[in-house]
Amino acid sequence: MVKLEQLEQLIGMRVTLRLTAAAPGAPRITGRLMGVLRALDGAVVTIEPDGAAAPLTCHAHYIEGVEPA
Amino acid sequence: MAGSYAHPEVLVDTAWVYEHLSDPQVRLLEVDVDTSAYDEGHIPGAVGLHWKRDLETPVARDIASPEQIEGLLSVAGITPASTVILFGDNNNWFATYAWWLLKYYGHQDARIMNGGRKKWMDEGRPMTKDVPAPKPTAYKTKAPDPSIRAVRDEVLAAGRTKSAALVDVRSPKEFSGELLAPEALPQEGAQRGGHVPGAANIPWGENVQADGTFKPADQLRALYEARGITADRDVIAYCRIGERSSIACFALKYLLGYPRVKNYDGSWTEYGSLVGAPIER
Repeated sequence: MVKLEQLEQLIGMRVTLRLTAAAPGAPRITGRLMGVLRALDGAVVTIEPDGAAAPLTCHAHYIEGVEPA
Repeated sequence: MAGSYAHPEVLVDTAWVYEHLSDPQVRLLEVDVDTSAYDEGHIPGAVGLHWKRDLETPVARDIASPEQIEGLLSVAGITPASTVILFGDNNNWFATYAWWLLKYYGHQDARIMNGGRKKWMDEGRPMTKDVPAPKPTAYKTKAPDPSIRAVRDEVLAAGRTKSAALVDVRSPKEFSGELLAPEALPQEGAQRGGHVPGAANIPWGENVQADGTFKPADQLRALYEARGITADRDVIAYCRIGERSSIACFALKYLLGYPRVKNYDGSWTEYGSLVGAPIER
């Protein structure tokens, strides 16, 4: 799983998230990383995918890697 | 702010709370996961509740009794006509649980402060260590509303017959049985890991945006409908002890207007210890 600090450094940037096979939806999402919400049971990442009408949320558990796009 | 929510009146933003700090009609209740947070500073006028001591019965495992709730609300200066604003840390985990309890016991006007304690603090709004001393009241609860509370047998039936759609709001590792509790907490409370058969895993954090406020209604609807949780079904939400699932119940019933939504407060700590109960991993 990706480190949360790594995600937080990329907030506001256009990134590609690589998701695990267990993740619901597509294996990769590219778009603007809007934020990381931390809680006791993990973190949820909000991303605005390219061309999408609305942001998506994804539990950080499903994010295998992230890189600037 | 609330846009097309079904019941926008149940959600207030931090600015509204700030504007009503001196309003005698409005009473603030803070409930945190971290029970030391209130003493470190809180919104002026807010009364602090302790989730373990105040929201459960002290001996048998159950939600707070009517008498406990009446005592708490009376000491907090709340009457049945008060507007009660609930908020807390961890994006209102226990604040929403307390809100659910108030609704269960018939309090008419209970609302959640969107974004909770963190948003208030992030905005640099005033905090104090002064503990308020409101004039006590003699609060009386109404008859409990069983339409918003699920009990064990209903959940067993839902798992076996799909009589209700089940929403498991825990983290993916808890849902899969790899963990029995959030990673940061002791791994205790249930004898087995996994989830109720047929449950959809929609972690509570997917109800909110990056700043911790609730998603707009269209995004919430898309989230739930994509996982088969539709308004025409009976819905039961659960987590480990019933506080995180209160957030899903709040979103489904009050923001989206689903008519039949129940919180299973026994949650995984009960279900995961039942002898013979079917479990999926």
